[in-house]
Amino acid sequence: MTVSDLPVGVLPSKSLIGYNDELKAGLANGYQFTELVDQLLLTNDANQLLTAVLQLINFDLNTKQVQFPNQYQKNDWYLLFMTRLLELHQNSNFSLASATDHQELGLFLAGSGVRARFQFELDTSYNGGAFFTEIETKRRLFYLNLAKKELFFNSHDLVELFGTELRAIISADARMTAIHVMMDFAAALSSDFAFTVDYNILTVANTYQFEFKEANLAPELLDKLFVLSAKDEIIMQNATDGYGAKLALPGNIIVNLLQNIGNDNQPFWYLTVIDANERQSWFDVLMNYDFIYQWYQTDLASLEIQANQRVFGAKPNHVEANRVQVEVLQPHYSEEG
Amino acid sequence: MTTNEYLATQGPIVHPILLEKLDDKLNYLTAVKTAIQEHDDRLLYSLLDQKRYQEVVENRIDNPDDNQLSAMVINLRAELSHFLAQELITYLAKAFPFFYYKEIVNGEYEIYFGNWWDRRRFGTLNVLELAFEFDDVEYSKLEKSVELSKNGIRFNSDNIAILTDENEKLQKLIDTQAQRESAKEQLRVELDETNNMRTGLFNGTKAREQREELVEQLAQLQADDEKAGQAHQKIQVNNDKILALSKEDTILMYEQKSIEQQFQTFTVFEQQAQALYQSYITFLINNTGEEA
Repeated sequence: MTVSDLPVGVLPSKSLIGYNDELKAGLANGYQFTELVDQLLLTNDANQLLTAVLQLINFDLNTKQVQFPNQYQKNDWYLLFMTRLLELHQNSNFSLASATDHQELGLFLAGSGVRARFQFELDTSYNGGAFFTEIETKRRLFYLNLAKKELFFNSHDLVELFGTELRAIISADARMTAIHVMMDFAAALSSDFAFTVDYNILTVANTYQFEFKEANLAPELLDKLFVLSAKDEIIMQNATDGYGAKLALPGNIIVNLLQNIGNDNQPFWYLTVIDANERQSWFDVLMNYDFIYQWYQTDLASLEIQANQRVFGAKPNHVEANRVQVEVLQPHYSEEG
Repeated sequence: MTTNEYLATQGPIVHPILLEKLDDKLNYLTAVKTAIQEHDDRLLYSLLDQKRYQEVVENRIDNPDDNQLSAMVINLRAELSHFLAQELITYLAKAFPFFYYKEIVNGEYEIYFGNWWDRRRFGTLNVLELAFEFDDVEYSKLEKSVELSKNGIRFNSDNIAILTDENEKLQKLIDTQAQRESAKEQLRVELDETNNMRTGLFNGTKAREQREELVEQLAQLQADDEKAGQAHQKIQVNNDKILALSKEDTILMYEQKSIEQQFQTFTVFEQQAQALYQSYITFLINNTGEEA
């Protein structure tokens, strides 16, 4: 056989170039990844932090030739970003937990302690972003979209988790500590990166108008609150300005329920929470006053404060709307004034 | 003096008594005007009803009725009432702090009890007579409520108990639907058996009685089903009624409490409310010095 009889071969010097290039690219990709992780873990610059996480949540670490078997998921990068930003703002009211046998992060908040565990859960709809979610109960407490710079709190699940499920086992103060970690994170996003934040039911501004799901409340709902308030010896008064009612709560907190006329000439109801230091929201009131919470929960279908519809969707009306409960409403008479 | 064959009279043409009367009227009106200008409400009240003023304040009952003079200002009642109400309501805010007033038309004041949600319209305030004119219906409710509270009972306790009881029975009807279904099934099986049973010669009557009883039981259950079907709606209606009654009880409780805070007992309140003329005029007399 002569050389010319052999099948056509490749030049040894050129033989593995393509393969080697793929390896190099894969390794470079991996190296770039580690640099981004470094940046996320170590930077003291908020903008660097945001740049890093935005790239990491879209980063595909595996290439054709270089595969990494043990990887963290996108939602872990959200959680790491959140805790690092809190760290930069000297907030340490949380504990970041790492699984020992696999790559997964979880979060505990001061106040709710080990009773509640949190992670981000990716929003798979066209909205993108992720929900800050309590794992056990699947309650979505806020929605976060880093690219669109949005954070929306979710009134419904906040009340369900902190108002109802944790109510019996954790004090109101402790529950508010946990809530304030989330609020501090939102405040950092808005101060550092000008995020749009909807505090929703957590809004503390005195001028904020909390609007009910049912715009035109039935007068019976106000009557119910009046009867319930008598048990706590808090007299529900007529509103000082405009048509509606006023509750003066201990601690110099005033809750106003007021009727106004909208642009469409239809009446609508809203409430305001007034306190001297602007630290109290409607949510605080629900946490601290059982009779108000009872009132709100009983007629949630009408009274719920609406969260962002685009990301949380319109809540369906109570499926059991026809399920009428026997209500026992009795004013308590006490001899001492 | 000319004689006029058409007129027979003894009197003089210019009558001094007439002039005197006109002077009286002028003086009276001047006094009223001064009282208003100087905001001397005590003087104004004494001018508007001298007889009552003297009776109540000076214990004089022998004076003649000179209300003819005050008749001159009768068509000014609205304006006078509006004028006098200002100081009066300042006084009432301290003496009866639970009453609130709304001027519905010039000089006419409605009384509202309390400043709580859906407070009751409790009557009207007669500013010129210095009298509360309470609404009979509302007043008697409060009176009865106060009486009942001595035994720890609220005004609507009984009605609320009846409605609550009815609601619990209705709820039970709803909750026992499944039990009724199986009971009906059982009865139908038994009925079938009775129908198909070969009746012996002497058992005819007994079988018929048995059948009738089963049919009756079934009918009873079906009647309960029907009631249960309407129960949700009825419970809702009852809930609304209970709410309205509870609200009324709450309001009555607040009314009684605010009265007792100010006057200790309802009886003292009643006495004070009826003695408004005397107490207010006395207040004005004692305070005239300060104002001047």
